[in-house]
Amino acid sequence: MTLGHAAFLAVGAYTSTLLILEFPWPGFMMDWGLAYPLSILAAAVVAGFWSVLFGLPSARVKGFYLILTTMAAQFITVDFIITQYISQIGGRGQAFSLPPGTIKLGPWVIDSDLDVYYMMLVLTILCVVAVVNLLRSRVGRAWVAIRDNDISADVMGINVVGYKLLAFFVAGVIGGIAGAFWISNLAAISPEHFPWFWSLWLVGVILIGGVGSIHGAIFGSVFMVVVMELLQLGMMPLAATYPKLLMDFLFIKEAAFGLAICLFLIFEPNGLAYRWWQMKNYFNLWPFSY
Amino acid sequence: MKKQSTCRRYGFGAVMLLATIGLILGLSFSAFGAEEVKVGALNDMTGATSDVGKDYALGLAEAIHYANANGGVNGKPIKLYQFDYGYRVPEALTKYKLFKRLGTVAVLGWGTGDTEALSPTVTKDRMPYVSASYSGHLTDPEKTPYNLFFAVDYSSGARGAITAWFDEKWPEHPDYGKRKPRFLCSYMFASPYCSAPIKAIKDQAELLGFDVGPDQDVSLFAIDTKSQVLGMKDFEPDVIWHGNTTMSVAATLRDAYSLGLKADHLINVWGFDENLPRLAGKAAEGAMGVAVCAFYGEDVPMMDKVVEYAKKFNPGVAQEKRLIRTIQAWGDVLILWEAMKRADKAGKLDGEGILKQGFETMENFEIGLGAPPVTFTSADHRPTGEVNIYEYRGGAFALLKRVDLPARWPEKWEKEWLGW
Repeated sequence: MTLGHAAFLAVGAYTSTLLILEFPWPGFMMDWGLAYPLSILAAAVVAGFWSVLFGLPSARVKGFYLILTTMAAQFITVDFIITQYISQIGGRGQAFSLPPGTIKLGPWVIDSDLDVYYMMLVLTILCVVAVVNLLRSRVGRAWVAIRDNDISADVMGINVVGYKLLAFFVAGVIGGIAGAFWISNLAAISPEHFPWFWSLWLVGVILIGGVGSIHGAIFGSVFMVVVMELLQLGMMPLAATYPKLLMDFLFIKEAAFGLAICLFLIFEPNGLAYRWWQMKNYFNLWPFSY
Repeated sequence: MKKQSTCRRYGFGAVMLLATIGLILGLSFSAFGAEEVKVGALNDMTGATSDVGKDYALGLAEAIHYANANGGVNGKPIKLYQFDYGYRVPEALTKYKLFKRLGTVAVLGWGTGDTEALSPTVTKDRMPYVSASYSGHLTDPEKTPYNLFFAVDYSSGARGAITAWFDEKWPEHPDYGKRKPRFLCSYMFASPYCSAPIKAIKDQAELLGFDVGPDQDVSLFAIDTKSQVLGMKDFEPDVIWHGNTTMSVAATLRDAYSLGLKADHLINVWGFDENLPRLAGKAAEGAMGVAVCAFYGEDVPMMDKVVEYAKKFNPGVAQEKRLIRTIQAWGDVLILWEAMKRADKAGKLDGEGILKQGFETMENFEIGLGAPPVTFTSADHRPTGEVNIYEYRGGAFALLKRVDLPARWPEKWEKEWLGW
C-alpha cells in the first residue's frame, strides 16, 4: 500500500498528455489515432520506473515505515517537479487543455461519457486479467511469500528486494495506465488533479473494498462513486430550500468519505471483498450450509 | 426463528432505503421540470483565492436575487446553482459536467486556471462562460468565443497601471531623466492568474523604456516574503508589480515596509481591495492598483441596489467588511443578465443566442457600478480599454489616473494586443 499513488497517476497522465500535445508525431500516426495508445504504453513504462525509484527504500525499511516513505513520491513528483517545472512547459504555469477530439484511439474519438466508460471497461478488464495471471505465476507466488514472511522468503532463495521493486514497478505501471486513461475524461490537466488527498482516497477505496484483493479494489471504487453520486443526487432537490448545501457540497463529500472509512473499519474491517466471499460461499453451499 | 426476524429486519431496511432513493429521485425530477433559466456558478470560498472569493460569491447570489426581483429573463426566473470548488481545477471540471447535465444555459466561473482549462470545452459546448478571471488570453473570439467578462482584462489593466505610474509618479522621482526606471514583478509563477499578464507587462515596460529586473516567486498562500523582498532589494526597483491576491500582496507590502524597500507598488485587480490597508497597515500607504469598478459603498449608479441587496440577503455580514468583490460579481451578473434578456427577446435563449444576440450586440453598454461601458464584437471580446488606476492614500482610495489604451496606442490596441 502506498500513500503517494497519486504521483504515479500524475506521471502517467502527464507523460501521455505531453506526448499527445508536444511530441512531433508523424502526420499519419495522428490521423490513424495511434498517438494516444502509444502514449498510454509510454506512460505505463515511465510511471513504472518512477515508482521503482520510490520503492528503493523498501530495501531498508518495511511495514508502516515503508508506507510513510511512499509519501515522498507525492511531494517530490507533484508538488515539486510537476508544479514547478513540467506544468511550466508552454510558458506560464497553465493547465494543459485537452480540447474535445484530442483523445483518439484508432478511429475511435473519445469525447463522450459513454466512450470514456467503454474505454475504462476495456482497460480495467485487460489490467485485471494481467494482474490475476501475474499472481498465479512464479512472480505472484514470490510476492505472496514475501507478504506472509519476508525472512522465510529470503531463506527460501527469493530475491526479496528484487521482487519488492518489481511489485513497485507493476503498481506504477497500473497507476500510469490509470493516469493516461484519466486524461480522456478531463478537459484539461493540472497539478491540482493529483493532490495528496487523492492518494488517501485511493487507500480509502482499498480499505472499503478489502485489502489484498483484486475484486475488492473494484468493489471499493464502485461503492465510493455510487455513494458520492447518490449524495449529489439527493443534494440537488434539497438545495432549493437550503442553497448553502451546494456551497458546502465539496466538504460534505469529503466528510462522507471519512465517515465511510470509519464505518467500514469498525463494522467490516475486511471490506466488501469479504462480504463477496461470504456470499459466494453461501451460494456454493446452498441449500446445505453444514 | 431468529434467522427469520433478521431477514425481516434487513428486508424492512432495504425497503426504507429504496423508498428514500425513490423520494430523492422523484424530488430531483420534479425540480427539473419547472420553467426557469438555469445558471451555474463556481466560487472559491475555501481555497487559495478565498480571501477575495467569499465576497464575490455573496455578491453573485445577491445580484441574481436582484435580477429575479426585476423580472428575471423576460419573466423567467433565474435558477442559480452555486458551488464552492475550493480553487481546484478538477472540481471545476466535475461541476461543469454537472451544470451540463442540469441544463444550465451559462456558467459564472471563477479562476483563471479552470476558466482557461475549460475554454476549449465550453467553446465546443457553446456554453457562455462569464468568469471572474479577466485573463487577456480569454479575449480573442477566434480562440475563446464563449469566454466573457465585464471588466478590463488583466493585461490591459497592467499596461494601464504601468503607464499611470510612468506618467504620474516617475516624473516626481529625483532620478527622472537621468536613468531608466527600474521595475520588477512579484507573483506566484505557478499560478495561471498571476502569470496571465506577465508577457504584456514586460512588453509595456519595454515600450516605456523600463529596466526590468528578475521576477520574484511569491506564493498565493505566502505570509512571510522576506527572502523575496531581500531579492528585490538587490535590484533597487523604483516600482514593483504585485500579481497575487490581497492576502499575499499585503504580506509582501508589510515585509517591503519593514525591510526598508523604497519602491512604489502597483497591484493587480484581485490584490487591491478594502482589505489591503486592513492587512498591510501603514505599508499600504501609497499603493496603487487596478480597480475595474467602484469600491463598495462609493457614490455611483446602482450602488444603492448593491448595498440594499447585501443588507437584505446577507445581514449577518457587516457592511464595513463588504468589498469591491461584491461589485465585481454584480458586474458579471449584470452583463450576463442583459445578454440573456436580449437572446430571449430574439427567441434564441441558448449558448449561441446568448453570445451572438446577447453579448455581441452590446455596444457601450452601461452597467453602472463605476465601471466603464462594455462593448463586445464578433472580432474582439475585450470589454473595454479604459483602465482606472486608484491610489490608497490617507485612509481612502482615490482615482489616480484613467488610462485610455485604445486612444493612446490605437494601432497596437487594434492589431497587436488582442488575446494575450
